[in-house]
Amino acid sequence: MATPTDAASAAPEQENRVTLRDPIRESEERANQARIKRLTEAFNVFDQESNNTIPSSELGTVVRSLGLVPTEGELQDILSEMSDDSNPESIHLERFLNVMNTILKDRRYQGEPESKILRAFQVLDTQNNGYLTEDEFRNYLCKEGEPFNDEEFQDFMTIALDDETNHKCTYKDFVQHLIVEDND
Amino acid sequence: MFAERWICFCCPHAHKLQRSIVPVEQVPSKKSSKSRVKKKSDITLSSVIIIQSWFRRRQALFEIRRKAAWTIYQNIEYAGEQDQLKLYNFFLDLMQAVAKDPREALVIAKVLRRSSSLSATAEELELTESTSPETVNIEPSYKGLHVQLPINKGHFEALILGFQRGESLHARYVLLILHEVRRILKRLPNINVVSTHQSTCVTVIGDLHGNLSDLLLIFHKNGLPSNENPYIFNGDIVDRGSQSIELFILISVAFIVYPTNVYLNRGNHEDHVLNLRYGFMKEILRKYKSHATKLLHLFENIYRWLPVASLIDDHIFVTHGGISDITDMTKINRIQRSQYVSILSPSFVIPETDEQVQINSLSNDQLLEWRQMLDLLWSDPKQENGCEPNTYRGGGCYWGPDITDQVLKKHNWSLIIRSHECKEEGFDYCHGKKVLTIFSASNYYAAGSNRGAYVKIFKNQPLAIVQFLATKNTVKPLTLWERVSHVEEQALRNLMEKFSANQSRLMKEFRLKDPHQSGRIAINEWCDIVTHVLELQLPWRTLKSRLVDIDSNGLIVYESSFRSRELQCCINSQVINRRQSLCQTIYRNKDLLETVFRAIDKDNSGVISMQEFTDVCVFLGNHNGSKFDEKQMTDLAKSIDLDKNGVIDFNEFLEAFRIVDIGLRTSNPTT
Repeated sequence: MATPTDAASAAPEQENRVTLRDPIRESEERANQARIKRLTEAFNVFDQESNNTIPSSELGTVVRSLGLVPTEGELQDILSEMSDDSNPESIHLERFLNVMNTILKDRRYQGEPESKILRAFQVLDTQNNGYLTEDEFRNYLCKEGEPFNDEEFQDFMTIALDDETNHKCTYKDFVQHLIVEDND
Repeated sequence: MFAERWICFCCPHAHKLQRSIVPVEQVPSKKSSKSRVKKKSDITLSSVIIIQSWFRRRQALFEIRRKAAWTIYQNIEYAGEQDQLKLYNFFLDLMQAVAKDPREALVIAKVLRRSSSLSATAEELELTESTSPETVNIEPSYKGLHVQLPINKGHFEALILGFQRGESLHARYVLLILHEVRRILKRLPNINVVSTHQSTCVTVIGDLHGNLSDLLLIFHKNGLPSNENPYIFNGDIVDRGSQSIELFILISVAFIVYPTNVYLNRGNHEDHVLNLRYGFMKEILRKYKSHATKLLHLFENIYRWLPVASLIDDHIFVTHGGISDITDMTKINRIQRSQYVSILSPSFVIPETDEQVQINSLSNDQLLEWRQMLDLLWSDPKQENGCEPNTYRGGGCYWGPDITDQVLKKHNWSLIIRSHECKEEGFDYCHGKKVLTIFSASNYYAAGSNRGAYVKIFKNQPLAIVQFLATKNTVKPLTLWERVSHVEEQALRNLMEKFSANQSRLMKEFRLKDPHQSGRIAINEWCDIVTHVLELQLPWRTLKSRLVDIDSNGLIVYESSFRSRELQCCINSQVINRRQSLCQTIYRNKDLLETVFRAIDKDNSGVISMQEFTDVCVFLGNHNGSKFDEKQMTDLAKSIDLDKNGVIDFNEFLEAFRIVDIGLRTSNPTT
């Protein structure tokens, strides 16, 4: 432990070296570290060759696996921010971390609250039935917006339908399944 | 309407350029009828997009779970294989150094030498006498197939039907078939010469690992082997799966009936050293009991005669593992492959008698030759250039695209086909499509984990890869959710076992980080400790919610991993019940212990002496860093030798250590 005499006899430069602890800064730094670790881990799951890159086509899955809800269009924006013109097919970890860290920090692409999602179904339910049919879903989800492909639609209908027999989706119950908790 | 211009992240092929969505909030809300229609369709549009986006999020969460499960399987599988090879490598290393403790030396010698070395003719005679089919009688109660020479197509078809019905072939006939296979194999060169000239097409099958249903599915899709429909089996027929013997018999019979149109390549699992640990030996012991020793002895003498590669039309090289910087066809052809009883311990390495405990020192030529063989059966490709030892597996090399180019050019080859690694789609190209991995055991890790595939090589056409998936009921394809649940469930169970097996060590480190004894630690710390103690690089953040409880503050309740499962030891011994960490150490090393015990147990009786038991445990403890305390182990040995007859049934012993479900505890945990 430094005694007063030690401090007094310390070199003059060290007089200015009083470091105040900044709890806010420390907590931000911890949060930052946690974000980086989380992002790196998600990235690594898709980094098959362990060379710090992932194919651009996997970006959507990686970003969404963090629990975010960007649209396809928004993903495209994210992609253009982090892709490298000399190698458009892959994304490097460094750029990924830069862009995604800010996105997480700013809490972007968090998606809508449950009530708004329910409202979305209600909008499509023009007859006010309280349910939607497979055909109605097909008309909307496969033809409009950012359309599903066959596989996506099939997977969607498997969880959407109330049961195997009727082709109805009582969307009020379904919303719970749709917004399954993310991994954190 | 907007469809044509998107890069769709769900389907990897890119379309044209992007457009960004106009969020609904920006749409001006005028009350004119024209803009009301416009507003309604915009609201519809944004509603559709909300649903689509949230669904895709859900898909991605499942996708990462699936990939994480896959990572678990691969990591645990390779860690196991690495263990096995490390064990053998350091046995050999120790043999080279002067073994200071004669007890240790004896253990090593016993493990490495399966059967004593005789001269070639003496060995032949011994083999013929001890494993002749004549030495096995057929009981009147046997209702299965009877086989006599010459073996023909009828036998082949009858066996397929019999095995499908779950029947077994009598040991006598298995010996008969295996002797025939051996007789034909001995005449073959090290590298099979295959030509599509005769039949215009040859089919290459990758790892099958005892999956009979996959082979039957392949025969169903691709036809039975025949002179018009040749097959190359690229190794790893046995181990891991539950029907290795049936598979080997079927393929053997096909080989006997069509010896010029069925080709066999040796895999790294066509090796008694691996069979000790990976299930084939256990399967034979279970299915053939008193005749098992004969069968095992004969298998040991067949593997060494399997060719190590095939060459199709002089330009497609087919081998189980791969190549390395020294791969040279001329050199390979000159090798006396029958010396490699086990690729991991060829006969020139192992001392000949019990008294000799030091390994023979090898010349440079011998070492290089050994590497040729090892590299063919154990190597894996890598993305970067270069060639380095495959420390992941513990044998063979990692070879890069430059090595591929080099070796292809040297021999004027155009393609390397290999197996050895499980791939989700059953196949995978690398090195600019000059290396093709083909893997034919579907559902390898768990139901739905991966497809199998085989490749058809044509005379004048590009090759064709066919995928398949063996399923119990082929009603409808599994959805993403079902596939993920199945695959993940088993993976997580395997992982939870590791937690239980390392409970003491984990709790010790958790407590260090929890000085206030709150029972909770931060996520980062939990992840770091788990990675370090379990020695598994896994996506712990993604997995944690399925492994442990998390409180409302986002902290990890670390004891919750141990609440539903517990390592129990059902041995009536006071010594063991007081020592949780000893229990766990034994459980963690179960596979290793089993391997070594079985290797020592020359007559496959399932029993070894107490002295041998203690010696092995202490030996592993000294060299494996696992700390089997000698006194504890001796006490343990004494306490379980209740009959005082000086022997221990090691199967029974090891099976007594089990991880069991105990449900949720409400009372405080004790240890």
